[in-house]
Amino acid sequence: MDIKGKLHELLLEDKVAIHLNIANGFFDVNKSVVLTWILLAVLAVLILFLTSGMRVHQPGKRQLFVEYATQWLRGIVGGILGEEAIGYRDFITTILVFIGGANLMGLFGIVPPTMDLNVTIAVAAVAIVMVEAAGIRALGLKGWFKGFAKPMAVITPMNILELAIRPLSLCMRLFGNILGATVIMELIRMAVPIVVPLVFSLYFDIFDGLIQAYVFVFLTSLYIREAVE
Amino acid sequence: MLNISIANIIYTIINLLILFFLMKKFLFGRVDQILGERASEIEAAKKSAEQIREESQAKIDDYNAKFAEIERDRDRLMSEAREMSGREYDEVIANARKEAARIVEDAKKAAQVEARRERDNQATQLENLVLDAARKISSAKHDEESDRKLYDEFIRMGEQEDV
Repeated sequence: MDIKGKLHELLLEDKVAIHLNIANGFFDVNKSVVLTWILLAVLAVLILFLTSGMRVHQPGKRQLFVEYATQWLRGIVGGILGEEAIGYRDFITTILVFIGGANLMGLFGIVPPTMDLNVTIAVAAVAIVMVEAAGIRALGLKGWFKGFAKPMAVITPMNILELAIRPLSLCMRLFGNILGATVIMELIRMAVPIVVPLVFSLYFDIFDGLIQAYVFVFLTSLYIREAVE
Repeated sequence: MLNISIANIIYTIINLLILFFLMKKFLFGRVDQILGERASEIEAAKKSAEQIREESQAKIDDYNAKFAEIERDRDRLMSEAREMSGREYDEVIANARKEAARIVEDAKKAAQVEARRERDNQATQLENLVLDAARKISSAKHDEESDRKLYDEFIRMGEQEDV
């Protein structure tokens, strides 16, 4: 298979997994959504396993791990959010786990769900709705509208544009990075099928995937922090 | 890959919300519960320890206050006793001096009385002697020899009286 064929397969394949014969295929379920279902199932089992039989005294290794990991992740997010926006910590942590988990699926030879633009759009939409909702909740509707004219009235158009630019940049950055990583991995696999892909997989699937999840969450948290101040 | 499907965006949002509620309920909820219980236990232990500390501190303060009071009492009693003993000593000394002075005075008086009585006694004896001598002279015959004998006897009596 040549490079062109590979790219064609990756980018233009039929991504519909479940075809529903209503509304002219509007409700068709994509492969990426099915993959996120799998991710959800795996996470659910993992969480239920890790948190089962938790004790106040003499916690086991499993409990110590889950307590430490949970507080660590929340600490990362909470540190960026700051005191005022700490209430959004758990939701942002969930986004971190969702994107991180989705990106790591590439490790198992699965095309990551975050390589589907619809998934990244969805996550970015949720994120930006949260940012603006946080702003409205903290400042009131009036204060939120006034916020567009800050720090000076001249940049009001810029601030309004940001409403669209922020989610767009969030979703495109994530999508582009994962797409790029996957394409490069496929090309490396084509060129050198053994050993080398393993090394690059460490970078592209683990490091880059987690970095992108962190970047997404970092920016969202910063936006929220900025919105509530 | 690049076509956008509103339905799939909504599916993903629903997935994300499901994951959030899952994590909230089973991960954060449980962890928070455990951590909260642990924290409240630690808080309770801290509180009781603090209470015990306060109580013992109060007791120590109480004891210290009592001890100080006892020391003050002791000092007061000691000084009182010292003062009293000093006063008594002075009194005793003064009494003793007075007594001694009285004794000396008495002794002086007694000595004077004794001396006067002795003198009176001697005078009386002398008187008697003289009277006796006079009587003997008047009653006896007067010759030179008997006169001499009388003088001698008189002198001897006087000597005897003196001894």
